Amino acid sequence: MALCQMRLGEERKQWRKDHPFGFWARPVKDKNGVMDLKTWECGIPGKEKTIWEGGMFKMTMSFPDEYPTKPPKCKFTPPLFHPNVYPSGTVCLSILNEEEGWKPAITVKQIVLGVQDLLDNPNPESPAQAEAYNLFKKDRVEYERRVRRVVRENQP
Amino acid sequence: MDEIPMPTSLQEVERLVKTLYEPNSAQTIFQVQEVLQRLQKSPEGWQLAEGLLSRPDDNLKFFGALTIIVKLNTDEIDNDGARSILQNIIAFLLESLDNGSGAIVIRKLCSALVTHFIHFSHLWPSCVRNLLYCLQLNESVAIQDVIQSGKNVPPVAGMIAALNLQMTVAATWFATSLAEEVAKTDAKSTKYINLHERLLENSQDVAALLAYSISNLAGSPAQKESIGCFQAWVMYGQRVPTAQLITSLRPLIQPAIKCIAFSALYETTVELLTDALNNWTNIFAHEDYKALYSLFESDWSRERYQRLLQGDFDFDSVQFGLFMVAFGSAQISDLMETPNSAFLEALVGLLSAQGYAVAEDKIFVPALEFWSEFVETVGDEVDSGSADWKMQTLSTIMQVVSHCWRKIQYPPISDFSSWDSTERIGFGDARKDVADLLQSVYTFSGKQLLSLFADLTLQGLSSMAWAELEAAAFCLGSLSDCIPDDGACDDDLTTVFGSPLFELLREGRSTVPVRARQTCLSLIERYTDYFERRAEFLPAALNLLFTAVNEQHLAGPSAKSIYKLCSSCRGLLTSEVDAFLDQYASLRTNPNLDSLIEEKIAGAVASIIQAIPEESRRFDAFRRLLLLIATDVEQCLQLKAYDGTVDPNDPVVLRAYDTSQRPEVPVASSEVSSQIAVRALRCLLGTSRGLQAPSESLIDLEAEAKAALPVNPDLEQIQKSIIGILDRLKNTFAESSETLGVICSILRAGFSETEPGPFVFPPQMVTDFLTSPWQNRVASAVYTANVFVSSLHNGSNKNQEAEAISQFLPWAISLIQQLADPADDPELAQYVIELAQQAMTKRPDIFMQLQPTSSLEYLFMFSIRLLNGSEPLPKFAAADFWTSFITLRAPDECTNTAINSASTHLGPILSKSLIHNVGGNASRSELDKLSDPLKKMVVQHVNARHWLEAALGDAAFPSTKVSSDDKALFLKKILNLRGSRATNQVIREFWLSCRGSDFAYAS
Repeated sequence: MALCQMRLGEERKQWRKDHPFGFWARPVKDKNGVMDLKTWECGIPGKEKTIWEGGMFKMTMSFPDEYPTKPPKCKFTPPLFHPNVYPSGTVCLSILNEEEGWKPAITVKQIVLGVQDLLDNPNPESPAQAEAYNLFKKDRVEYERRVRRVVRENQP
Repeated sequence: MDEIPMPTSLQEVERLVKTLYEPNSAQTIFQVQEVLQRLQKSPEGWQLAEGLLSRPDDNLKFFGALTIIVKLNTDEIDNDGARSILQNIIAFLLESLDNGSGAIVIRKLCSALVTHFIHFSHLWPSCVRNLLYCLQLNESVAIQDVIQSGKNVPPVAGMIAALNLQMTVAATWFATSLAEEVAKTDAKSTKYINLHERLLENSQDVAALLAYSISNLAGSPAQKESIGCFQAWVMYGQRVPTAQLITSLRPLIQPAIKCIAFSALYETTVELLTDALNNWTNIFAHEDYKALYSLFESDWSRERYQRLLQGDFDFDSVQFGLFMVAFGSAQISDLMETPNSAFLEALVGLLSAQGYAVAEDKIFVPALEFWSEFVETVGDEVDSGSADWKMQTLSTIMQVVSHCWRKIQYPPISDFSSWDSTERIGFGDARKDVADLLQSVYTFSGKQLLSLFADLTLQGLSSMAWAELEAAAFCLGSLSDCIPDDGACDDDLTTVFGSPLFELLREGRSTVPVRARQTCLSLIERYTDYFERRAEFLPAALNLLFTAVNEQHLAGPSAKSIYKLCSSCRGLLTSEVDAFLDQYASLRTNPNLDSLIEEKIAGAVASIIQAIPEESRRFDAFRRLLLLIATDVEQCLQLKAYDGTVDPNDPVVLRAYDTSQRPEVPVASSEVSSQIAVRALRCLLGTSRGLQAPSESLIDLEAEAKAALPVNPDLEQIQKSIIGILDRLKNTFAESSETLGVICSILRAGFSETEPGPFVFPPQMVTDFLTSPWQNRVASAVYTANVFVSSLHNGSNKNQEAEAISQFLPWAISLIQQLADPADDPELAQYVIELAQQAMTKRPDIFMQLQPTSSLEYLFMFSIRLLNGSEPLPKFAAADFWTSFITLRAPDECTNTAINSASTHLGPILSKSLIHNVGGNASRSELDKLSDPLKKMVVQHVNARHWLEAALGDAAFPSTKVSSDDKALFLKKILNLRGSRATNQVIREFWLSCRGSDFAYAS
């Protein structure tokens, strides 16, 4: 627990010093302004020159007590139309999977960049929602039209 | 170019080396490099190195030294060989120093020595001392031999003092490269542990060398190199921090601090100190901090500080600011204790340098980072500090706030448009950081902060200073999440919301710049709670927002605000519902009304309708809303019937396409009609969501009894109209997947509702609609049916569940029967299996008695096909289906008998499918999911062992890489584990063996 808080404090500091352009991420605060380091809200901008450009997608990162041994859970709110996002909004990405690519050294910055990269580079090996996945595989025109709408609905 | 022949003499090699430095094509250079590299790696490489190092040309010597490095890295060399190589390199170094060779040669020879140390540190553990000894003697000797022979070796200080300047510089280069190169090796790997230990043993000697140069060779190149070397060692210390290193290096800090004021040394020193303050504060002793405090009080610092504040953002000037910030962060606890210290005041001042943040002022953001950290940390102490301390701290923080408020004011539009996108986004990010800071300040300051920005907003208003007004409103908005929701701050907010602000924003369209208007409008959304409590200000706010919807730049945020305000304050607005309907009707006449915005407005109006207490008034209002939307429905149906093209300027085209997507040439009427259909449906969807009861409203536990009440005939009529619209559009635009998708979303919007309403259709109506023919996207309908069944199960219409399942199940099965291959429509396959699974677990009796029995069989076999297939999502659905089936129990005996008999029949087939999957057919990511039914099976079924054994021995088992013993062991393991979590690991290992080890991490 203490390790989790210490690391998150450090992540917060590092993020302030150096965060990727156009992104935001910060721990949430309760009504009394007390910060909850274990829950962060962040904004993932769609990458330039991709169909996701212009969108700003809100994601919540929930860090477990065992962090950084275990990865945070990343969830788009509202859920996002994307092959690797579960209907609940949870992101399916190897670096966020304890049994796959997660390493304690992975930083918040690397996570948000990884998620941004995933937007335009879905992983067809691990589908998480049927609709976006099947359209992505079978009807790219309709898929892209849907993405553009999602982008319009998620303006910064 | 022809292939280059291998050179046969040193002269030929020289010629080739020289070609590298002459203008030549990339291809030539590449080929020459290839030949030279081959030569370097050949046994003649050593000879080549020596030959080149003896030539007068620096480039040739450089290449000779490089060759030594290549040889050291690639050849196998014994200790004796390594000793003589070392003597040779040192000899070449001495010679090169003597004959005035260029810096590139000396540096490369130093690198060669470092490479030698990395490979053979045990041969000369005190490498620095050894080198110093040779340099002062001007002779290449091994210091150990000298010591062993009983000769006296002078103390290190003596050696250092005896060196000439070039030698000192060379020794420093060696020491720099030593730290840099050793840092690149892994200090924890067994291969390099000793190397790092020996490096540390040299740190005292290095420190002695540097201390001498820094203090005694002022103004010489050796002094500058020494600072650089110190930095390399500090970097090393950050990677491999040890107490020994701190002891060695710490005495250098104060001499280094003294160097900063010399312009030739400034950049290196400021970088060194900033880096150490940011990343390795342990190296500083209390005395060092005191020295830094004095430095910051010196005239030199004052002059630098002023220059920065006056807008000098050259690299070196910003470096100074970053140095201050780094020092502040390192001293944050001390600074917190003395909130009125001069240094803290200087850090406050850093926020007020001249120029716009990011685009010009490069120190604002780093300084802001410091202050965010400061305020966050100080917030934790708020309860423990004395009153005096609190007052002083607050006064400092309020100065910070004031500077930030000035800094985030937008420049005139002409300046702003001259910025590039990086600067604009950076400026926006800085504003967000300020908002973040303010929220932390609020914890410390409380209401005072809110009053400040309310006042500043009003001041901006009265002096018509729009940038100031905008920034104040922005700051005020950022506090909306902090203030208590008991209305304690309402009076402050009323000073703003009750001021002429709204009036001015509404009337003075041309006077108030768009950005200020936008920020002020967003205040309304942020303070929705306030308007709920102070309903008297609600009409003015909404009127303003509706005016703004017609303005391109404000439409999006305004519509969002309208939605939020109407939805949250719905109960207060019901008496005005007609006015809202009028507003909506009038907005619809705007040909540029964006479809996304219209959906929001329709939803906003619907949410007010939802709150109307009297049924008749509620239905009347809804009918008016539906009528508006129905005009689009009529129009699209008419257009669809008319088979031709439409002029791009036709109003109907303007309605069909949003401004950014409008066609420039005539379009097919069918295309236009389809667009309008989607628009109408999306408005209907917005309406259906607006009509949903707010989530916090009370759930009526007696709902079941209420459901039996007769349905209001007006409501029944409305529902019929809606379903009629959906039905017509479904059939007319049967090919448009978007249309069908939205129709299903509209249906789903009513499922979760507990009270009767226009979109809460009677179950039979929903069932009939969904099971009617779909020419496209039937998967959507099946998915919707599935959601519907679970809503019936959880809601007040539970008695309708059996009927719905009885109708959906045969329908869904008939759909997959038409599917030649599940891969033709994996989505349909998945949803049908999910629906079947739900039907099976909710009502096993209906499920097992499905007629004809052949359709149930088809379903089971279809599910096996999905399990054997390669589409991941249907496969997962099938795995879940089987997991449920294996554990299925019914309340009645008759059904249980049917289940048992089906299990006996299906067990072997399922076992075969699962075993073939874990025997290598599945992909790695599917294994966990496929383990579930297997785990249940071994616990639930007496015959499991038998079935699995047969499946493992099956002729079609996919792998030949496991023996029958392996298979038997695997079976024994999973049976013994009795379905526990450890089974997954056993399955994973078995799968790996079946695939063969080459596959280890391939999939």
